[in-house]
Amino acid sequence: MDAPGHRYRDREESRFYQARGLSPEGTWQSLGDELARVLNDAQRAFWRTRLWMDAERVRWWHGAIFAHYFPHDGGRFRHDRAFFGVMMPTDGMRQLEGAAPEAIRSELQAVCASFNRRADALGAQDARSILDRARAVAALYAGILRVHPFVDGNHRVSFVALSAALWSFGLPNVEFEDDTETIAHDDALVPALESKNGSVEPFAQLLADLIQRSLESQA
Amino acid sequence: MSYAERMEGSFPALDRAHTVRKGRIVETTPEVNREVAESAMLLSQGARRAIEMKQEAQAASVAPGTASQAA
Repeated sequence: MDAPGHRYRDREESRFYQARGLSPEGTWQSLGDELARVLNDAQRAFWRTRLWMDAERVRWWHGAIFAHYFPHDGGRFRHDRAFFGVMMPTDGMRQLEGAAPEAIRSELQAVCASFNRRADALGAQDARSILDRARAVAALYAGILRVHPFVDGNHRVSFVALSAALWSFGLPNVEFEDDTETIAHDDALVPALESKNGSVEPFAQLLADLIQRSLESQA
Repeated sequence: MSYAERMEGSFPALDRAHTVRKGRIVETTPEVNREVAESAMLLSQGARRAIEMKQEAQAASVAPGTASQAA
């Protein structure tokens, strides 16, 4: 990849389009630096170490990425309804609604508690496949995205959770970089975003396949 | 048994944090995390928009060279 961030800018309607004193492109670059710093910290803290998730950790990560440049938004749960678009594999864009503002903390806590239970169960089993672990990671990632606790930056904070969870389970993190991978990422997430009971299986399978193939190519 | 030992499963244990990039597994360094962060920033725009953004950036970086060649 070329020098990161020099060419890109966020959507103009994003809260994180332009920080005070920076151009939109400079804002993109600086937020990318902050996200990388949080990933570095997560790697150091959670590589093959138990990750306990709770709503405060999600809020804290969001603040760590955004609060330096956007102190009024970073680390703050939203107070209004939020809608986000997902591209349906067959019938175009559809708007989904995040959790009701008054339910954000409890729904996020439920997602985190579910991850903690799955992590405990994985630790107690003798045989744990990559897919078993990927299911727990996928449910955490999709759960944060579905609750959509922040006005903006939900995907970026969810990606930190995904990375920390994979490292915690002794698995490699996964970058979605090329066009095929990014489309597969979005398509596989749709069922889990549509409802609380939506299936995380397609995204878990995608994660497990990418990891399995990379490990086989290394062998 | 430690948490790390319990997390060893039916795949080759990695002794350090790694990242899957372009189908290959690489050791995670701060440089890798910076590039992964860039990909995550793009992904946060939605896959279709991310692809458009990359194409626009590529076109913009090609255009100056094309112009000077024409001149």
